[in-house]
Amino acid sequence: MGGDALKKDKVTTDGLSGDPTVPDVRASFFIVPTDILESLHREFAALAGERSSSGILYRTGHRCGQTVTSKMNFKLDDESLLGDALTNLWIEIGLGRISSIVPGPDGSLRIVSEESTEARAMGRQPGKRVCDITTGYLAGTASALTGVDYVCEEARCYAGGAERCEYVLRHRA
Amino acid sequence: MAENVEFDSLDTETSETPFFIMPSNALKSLRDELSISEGEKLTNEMLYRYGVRCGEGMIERMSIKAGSSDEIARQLPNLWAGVGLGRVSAGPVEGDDLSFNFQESIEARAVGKTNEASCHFTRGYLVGIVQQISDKGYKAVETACLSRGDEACVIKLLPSTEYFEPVQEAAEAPQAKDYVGQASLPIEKGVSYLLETEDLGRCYDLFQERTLGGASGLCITRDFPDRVRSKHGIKKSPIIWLSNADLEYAVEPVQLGKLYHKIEDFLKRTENGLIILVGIEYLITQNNYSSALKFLQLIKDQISIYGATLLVPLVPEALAEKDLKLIEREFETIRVDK
Repeated sequence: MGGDALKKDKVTTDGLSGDPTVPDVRASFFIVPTDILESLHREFAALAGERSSSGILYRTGHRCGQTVTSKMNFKLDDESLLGDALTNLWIEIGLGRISSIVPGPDGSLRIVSEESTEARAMGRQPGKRVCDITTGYLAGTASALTGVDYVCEEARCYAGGAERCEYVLRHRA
Repeated sequence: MAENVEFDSLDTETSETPFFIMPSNALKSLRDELSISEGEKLTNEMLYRYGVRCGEGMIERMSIKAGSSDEIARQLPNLWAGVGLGRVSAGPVEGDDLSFNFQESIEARAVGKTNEASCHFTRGYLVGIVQQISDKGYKAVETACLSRGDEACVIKLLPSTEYFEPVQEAAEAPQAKDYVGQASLPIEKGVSYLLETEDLGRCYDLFQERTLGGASGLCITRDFPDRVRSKHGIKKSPIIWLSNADLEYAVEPVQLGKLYHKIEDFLKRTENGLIILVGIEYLITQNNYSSALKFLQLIKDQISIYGATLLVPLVPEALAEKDLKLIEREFETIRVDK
């Protein structure tokens, strides 16, 4: 993944045992069916209101992106390679397929996702932008790859009626 | 994955990438964040429910069934290997009771040392898988956990009556009743109705009439289930009691998420669903108005999606006029007179 743009970093150990011979389980990943995203969204919305729910899901996604990337020990030396690295990594994550990444004049990246599984799981909801985990995941991944703090916003959403989802990734102000 | 397990052909839009990757520490972060806002108990139950959903979702795409407890015990370790939540081996099978030992529960390791068992998501995931392959209801109890100093995590699965399949009442010809001057209330599929009334009995009767006519009913009520069954003749339809009682068929009124999950589960399993929710006033007082309204809106969406019908009886005078108007806007409102 990521070709030459990515390099490996050091490995850490498990927090519970403190035993360096025990593999770091915090690096362990499990699979989550995308169908669950709809339940997550709806239950959080019922529980905490839609705005808080978006925040919780974004932060969860951010943590996912950050951990998956850093535990795979990938780092970028050159931030200009971020687009290529994201495109390659994203295929493995399961949240969609990035079809293009266009740099903006302000240094941001406009990312087009053809098959956002989060938006598709949520179904059509006119006018809404629902990819909270996805945007968080992208920001976390970009932050871990570059060592620079990124934020991500959804500009268009398949669930809201757009043909495809578009995300804007930029440095945190 | 289990031997000879094949993925069904998928026609859903998410079929190409039906899973995404989540690291264990993201689960811990989610747990921590929810604990702060919702408290530990609610959080643990939520994680359990998400686990159940994940387990069910994982197996839904596979052509795999297990007819006996021995078969479940044999198949589970292979299935679990694909999940990523640690290695598991089956313990002794005692009748319908199953036991599984987790040599390296990544959830427990991610949570770290605590005074109590912590593998709630794992428990749920296990239950979801086993329910899906066996078509039987189970509940999971973690009897040992790495988090509290045990050598390994041990989760026991016991038969549960909490899991219910939609059933139909006896196939009798429905008796027409006189509501507001009509032969019967004209209720349709895919619609949620607000029944403004001071006579709950009439609403129960309508529910019973429709279930006798072929609908699969789910009754959610503040009234004690035994009394509802004896007084209104609801014999087979499952009843969820809105109560703080520690019973399998009870749901605490503050657990709107759990209630939503049960409703969603029911709707997924039936093609002709009818739900009556008696006690919306109670849910409002136990939570707050906006949470209860949001809850109703979410259920209404699901009712439309699954082509079911929702009946919500309400005494209009119990709410402020503005609050009543907001609920009326969400529903088809019918006045049910005494």
